[in-house]
Amino acid sequence: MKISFGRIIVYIAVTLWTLLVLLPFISVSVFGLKSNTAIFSNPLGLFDFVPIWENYVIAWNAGPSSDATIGVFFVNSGIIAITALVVSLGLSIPGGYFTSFLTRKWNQRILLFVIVGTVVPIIMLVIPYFRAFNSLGLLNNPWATGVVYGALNIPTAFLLMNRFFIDFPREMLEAGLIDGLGPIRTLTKLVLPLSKGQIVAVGILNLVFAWTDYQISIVLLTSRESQPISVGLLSFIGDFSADYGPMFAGLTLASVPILIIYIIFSRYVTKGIALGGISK
Amino acid sequence: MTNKSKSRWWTVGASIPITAMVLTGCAAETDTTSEGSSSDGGGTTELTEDPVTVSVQYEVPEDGPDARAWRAVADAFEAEYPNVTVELQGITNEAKGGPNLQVLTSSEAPDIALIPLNSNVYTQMVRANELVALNDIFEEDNFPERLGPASAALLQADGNYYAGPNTVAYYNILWTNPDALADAGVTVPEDRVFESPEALIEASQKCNDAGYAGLAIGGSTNYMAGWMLDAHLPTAVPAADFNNLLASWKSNVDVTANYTDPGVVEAIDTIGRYAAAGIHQDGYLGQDGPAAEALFTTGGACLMIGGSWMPGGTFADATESGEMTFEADFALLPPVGDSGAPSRLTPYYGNAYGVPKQAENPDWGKKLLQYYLSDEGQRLGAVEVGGFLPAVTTVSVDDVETFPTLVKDIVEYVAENGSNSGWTSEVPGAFGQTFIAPYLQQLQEGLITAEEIAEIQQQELENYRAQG
Amino acid sequence: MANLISRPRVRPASPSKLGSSKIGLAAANKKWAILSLLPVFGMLFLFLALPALNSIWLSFNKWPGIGPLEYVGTANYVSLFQGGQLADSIRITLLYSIVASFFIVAIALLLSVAVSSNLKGSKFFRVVWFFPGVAPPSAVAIFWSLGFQPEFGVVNAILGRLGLPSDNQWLAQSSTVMFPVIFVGIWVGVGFSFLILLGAVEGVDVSVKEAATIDGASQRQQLFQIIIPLIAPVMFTVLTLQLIFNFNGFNLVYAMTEGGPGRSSEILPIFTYVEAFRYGRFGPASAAAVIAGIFLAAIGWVGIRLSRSRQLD
Repeated sequence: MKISFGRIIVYIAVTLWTLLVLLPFISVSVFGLKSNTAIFSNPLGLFDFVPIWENYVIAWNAGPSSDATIGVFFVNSGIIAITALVVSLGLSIPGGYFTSFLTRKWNQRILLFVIVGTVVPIIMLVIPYFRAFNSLGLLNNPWATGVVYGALNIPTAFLLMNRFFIDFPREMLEAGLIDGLGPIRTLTKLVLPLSKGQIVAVGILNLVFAWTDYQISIVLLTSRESQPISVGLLSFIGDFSADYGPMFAGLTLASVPILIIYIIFSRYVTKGIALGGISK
Repeated sequence: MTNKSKSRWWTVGASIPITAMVLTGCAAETDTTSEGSSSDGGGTTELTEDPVTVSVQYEVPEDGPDARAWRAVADAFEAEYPNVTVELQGITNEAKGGPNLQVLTSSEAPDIALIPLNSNVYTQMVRANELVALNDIFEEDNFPERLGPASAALLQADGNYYAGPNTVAYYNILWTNPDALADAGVTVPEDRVFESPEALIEASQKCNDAGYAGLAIGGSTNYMAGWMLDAHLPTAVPAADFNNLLASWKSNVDVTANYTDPGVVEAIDTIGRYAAAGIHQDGYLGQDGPAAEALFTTGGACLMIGGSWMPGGTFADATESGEMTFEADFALLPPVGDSGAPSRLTPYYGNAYGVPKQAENPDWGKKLLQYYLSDEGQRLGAVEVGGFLPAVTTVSVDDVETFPTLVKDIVEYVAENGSNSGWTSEVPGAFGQTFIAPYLQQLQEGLITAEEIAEIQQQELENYRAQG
Repeated sequence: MANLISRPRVRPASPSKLGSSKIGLAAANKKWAILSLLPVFGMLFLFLALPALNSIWLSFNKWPGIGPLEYVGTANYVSLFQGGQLADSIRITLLYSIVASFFIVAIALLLSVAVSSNLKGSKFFRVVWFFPGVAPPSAVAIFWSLGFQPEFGVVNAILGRLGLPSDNQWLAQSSTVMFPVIFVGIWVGVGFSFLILLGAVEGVDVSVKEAATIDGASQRQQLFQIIIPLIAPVMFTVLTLQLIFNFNGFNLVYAMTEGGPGRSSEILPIFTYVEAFRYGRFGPASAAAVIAGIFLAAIGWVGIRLSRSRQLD
């Protein structure tokens, strides 16, 4: 295949977009090594400065106490994300699976009913959540906040899992039925092991939401010790409002774990949402 | 009590999966309410010797002056009461003016809360009777007398005090960079006051010509344009009118001056004229306070609008890191028209602390607050460690060596010349500071006229009074 | 497992599949369907329906953030519509949401077509292009806010080097503030849409493409006459998702502009936040949220209708 003019254009476009996506990440981590003056005098310079590695140490240790540093924010984010995953996947997998055996019409109806939830503005939910959590004594409790994110993740998780299970080969399920596996054991022994990829994909999408959103956690998690990285980062930024080096170092540290998790599981994500999204 | 029944209804809804938690949640709610009202009256409550944690809000940054001051006060307090652990909770400038309201009325309320007197949080909490009265500790230490005339604004209609400021801050200070001004050939008048808006505009144009920004301001920070209005307003209208503007938002005060009066319009319009003349740094409407400070301390601007907390904070930090290489001085914004007072600095007593009724240990909260507001606490926390001015007049900063000289000069200047009240720091934020901020930004962009803003503000005056 | 997942993805629904054994499967699983749906609906009721109803109720009341509610009928809605800000805010939200979503889907489509045509390094691109969607929005907003500063920002610096006008005010001016806001919205949003569209483009049957190539169709013709019509339902789904997502987008915009200068970038979620938390007007704030919900529902409804009608072609 000869290289056509069109193909060159494609390569240029793809390279430009990749640069546009990657350069900010590189800049932020490099800014983390710079002084204020170096950041402002030459924002484009990636090499011509003396690296201040200490910025990263400062950022890692910053916090009003050892209970509220970036490390603690990570732990809280982890708690929220795991709770959210357990809730959303734990309910959406069986729900999406068994719903796929209903008639097409009923499956559609249920799906519509479930995804209607996505049109509720999140900002509208925040005040009722706060009042309920307050009267239940659940404020500043990352586990409880995780349940909220889990619940809000259900519509997408349910949709994607359901679309996946509809495409699941019926012949295999019938074989399971004939072998005397009941419906539950068919799900756990036969279907789940074959759905790992999809589950990981949906899980990552949910994880990203729980990890990055701050509309909800900023209201439900007010004490710094209970805050996840998304909210902790805001007060962290406040702490370094005039000291950009350590601030960018902190932003880098905050972004790295989720990027690594994403890179590890990215092949599932590509397949998982592609499959789910394609369905009608 | 619609609200109570509503929260019940919610509780029932949430109870389906977690019945046990609901029961404890409900019980806790009724508990704290009754406890809160009982601690209201008594000043002689026995303080336990059991280990107790007293939580206190301070304004971030976490290593900033507010945090350092509280830490010092807390350490001294803990030394005196070994069973007490003071826990500091940082809140942002954004949170203290609004979202904090939800926290202060929740089961997570701190024992000492940061409640700006000109914020919606304070207005609503006083209105809903959600703050513990501080009359007993105030009377015990003569706090109102020590505070001086500013205490009048603290006294609420029901005869109670609900919050006390730990500091007075002077703002509307034009910080000057003498090196840059000399470079640009600008001389600041002997009495430190620019004669007229035109004089200020001319000065900053000279600065521009010499390669400096004129008057640096954090334009995206929603309260900074309001500061300039505070400086202009008392100079633009007669004193009686000005005092009425400060008070007429209360429905029991007669309206004798209007926001549509020519003096008010002129005071607003001057902000627009500054902007039109380009006296602020490039892109200021997209930059916050810290960005303006960074520009000024690194020598990029002739002037910056700011306050008396800066020499002990930003300036000291920037000097230490070697980024600030000049000694700042100060000047004042010009008067607008000649029907009002002369130009003076504006005091802010508004950064006040109170004890929420929902607090877990309101009595310990009062005790710690009392200590901070005592002469000893003020001297230790505010003056020596925080580097800002004490709220009370009974503590002097003159003999404190660590205290920034520049701030001592300001104290001296105010003692000689007096000060003017600030409109945005005295009227409630939802009516004043927060309300007018976006319009002032539009004015700076030339998208709205001063007359239009005056009319909107007058309309809001009527709305606000109608609400009671 | 691999061959199970990579079954042809675009396929007509085949009613003929409803054989007798499938009915057996359905019967065996039916009661489990009801059982497993109970907790799903329970959670949705608790965490979505109930608070939404609560907000609707709040929108007919006056509530300053604490204390009792005071029923005021439709006064909140009336005052919102009488003041001009709500209309402005809706206009800004629609502008942001529509423009950003349109560009997101267009760019994502081009990128996915590019990658699907046996491009070298496509695995790398797939991973990297989703990065902006994964990074914490506050970090993204901080970086780009500095980047769009007129004096020392990266963007003007680059434009200057390219010989383009480099004195743009960007975030500091009402007339230009939406450019950076929309740009960053696009920057963040493309990755997700790209991944979904890539799946669809790759699902287009290879034989169809080969047939087209034999017929002498150019690449552009292939794109517009074969690929786009085939994946149209997915495109509409993605567009709908993006519209909803951007209409709801608070985190990024608030962190970049807080709705300013003036109120020129105050999208509806920020309007709601400011009304409630800065002014203590929870009633009008809830009314604005209800209005936003109506818009979102309308977008969702149109999106579903469109993707369905396209499917029937």
